Amino acid sequence: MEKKSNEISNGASDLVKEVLEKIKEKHIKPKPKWEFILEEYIIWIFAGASFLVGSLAVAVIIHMVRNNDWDLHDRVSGNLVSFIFATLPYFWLLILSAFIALAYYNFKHTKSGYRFSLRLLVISSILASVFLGVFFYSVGFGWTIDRMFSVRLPFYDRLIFHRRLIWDNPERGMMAGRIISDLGEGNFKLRDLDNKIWMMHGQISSTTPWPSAGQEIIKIIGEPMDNFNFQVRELRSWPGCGWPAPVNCPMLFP
Amino acid sequence: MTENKNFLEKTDEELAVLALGSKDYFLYLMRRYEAKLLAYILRISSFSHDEAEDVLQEVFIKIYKNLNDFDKNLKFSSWAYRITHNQVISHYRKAKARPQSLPLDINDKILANLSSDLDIEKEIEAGYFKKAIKKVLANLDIKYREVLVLKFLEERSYKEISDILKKPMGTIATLINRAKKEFREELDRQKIKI
Repeated sequence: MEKKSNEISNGASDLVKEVLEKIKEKHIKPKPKWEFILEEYIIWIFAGASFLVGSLAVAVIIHMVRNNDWDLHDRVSGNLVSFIFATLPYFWLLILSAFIALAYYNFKHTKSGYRFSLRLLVISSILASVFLGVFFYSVGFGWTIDRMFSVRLPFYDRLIFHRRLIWDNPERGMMAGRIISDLGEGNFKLRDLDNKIWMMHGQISSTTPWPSAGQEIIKIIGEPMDNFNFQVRELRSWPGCGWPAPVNCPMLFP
Repeated sequence: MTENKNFLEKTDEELAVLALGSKDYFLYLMRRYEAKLLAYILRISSFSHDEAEDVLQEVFIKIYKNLNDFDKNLKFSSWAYRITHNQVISHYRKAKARPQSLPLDINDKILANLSSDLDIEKEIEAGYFKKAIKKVLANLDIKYREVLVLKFLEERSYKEISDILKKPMGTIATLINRAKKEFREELDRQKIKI
């Protein structure tokens, strides 16, 4: 083998011989293939996960836009345009942008990612996220995630600030809060978003499905009677499909 | 001797696979690329010949260590040039140096390529043109210099430059156009008339 090696290196420059010597002396070996495969898989997994989260954000955005209490825009703001800007789901749009950027970053670092332009990758990521997001929305993920966040993450409702902006408005006939105690015949005590206690006077029939006391936030439309009493006209869930939830409002997180 | 002849007939890609089995076969690859990569390093950098040789040694060791990462969809030469490019950039970063002069090897074919692509009149004295090109290239930003070197001096296709620099082909085309513009502007700045 030594003889063969010498034969091969005949005619090679000093530099080449030196490199070969170094490889032998330092026992340098090619890195195993599995290391490169693993690295590539990890990048793809991160790219896929980012794309998936982006699609889920799209599902929530669709859900929020569709359940944006459009019928109340007159009460909330003077015109539709300012209502749209006030109620855009900025938090989820931010999440979508961040995860599209992450998906782009990871994809760009795959072996062939460099071949695609920024514009092509971003546009195709958005389109693919929208398609998958529509699917996720149609199976109820938008509603589920929004509700799960609202119930389990205390800061979430502060991030979706437009809900508070709209529903912390008793003077305009719109309030939200948790039922403290059900007094029967449509009357109940409510703690609003500012922790103020209200007596709510309803005309809700006893057959109407009724949210349990303390369980979750509900939205109320009606008229204020004074500083502590409120006449209830309609209840909606928070975040809502209306109350009671319509048949086409998926309940994956009951 | 017969074995040596057999290896001469092998493609770079075949040699890369063989080198994984025995390091002696890596020598053939090094012999094929030594002069080319050394010239490339000298063309895109301001390194002295000795320094360029040191970088080339590191390049060969890196190529050897990463043989299993060689993407069969690429030409081996593009992959080797990519590693060389990265090593030069990394060497620059370590030294925090900016190139000052370029020991370019410019032949008549390269002159013809450059003058037709850069819309420069052909009736110029070759010696003067070579000096002017060296001076102008040495003053260009490395991102412009390397695309001009790859396109006109190394005579690489857009696809190969894209694979070497890991940028989309559209970006390469834009970079080359900008580099040509920068080249002409640098000619004006240095008051070189060609």
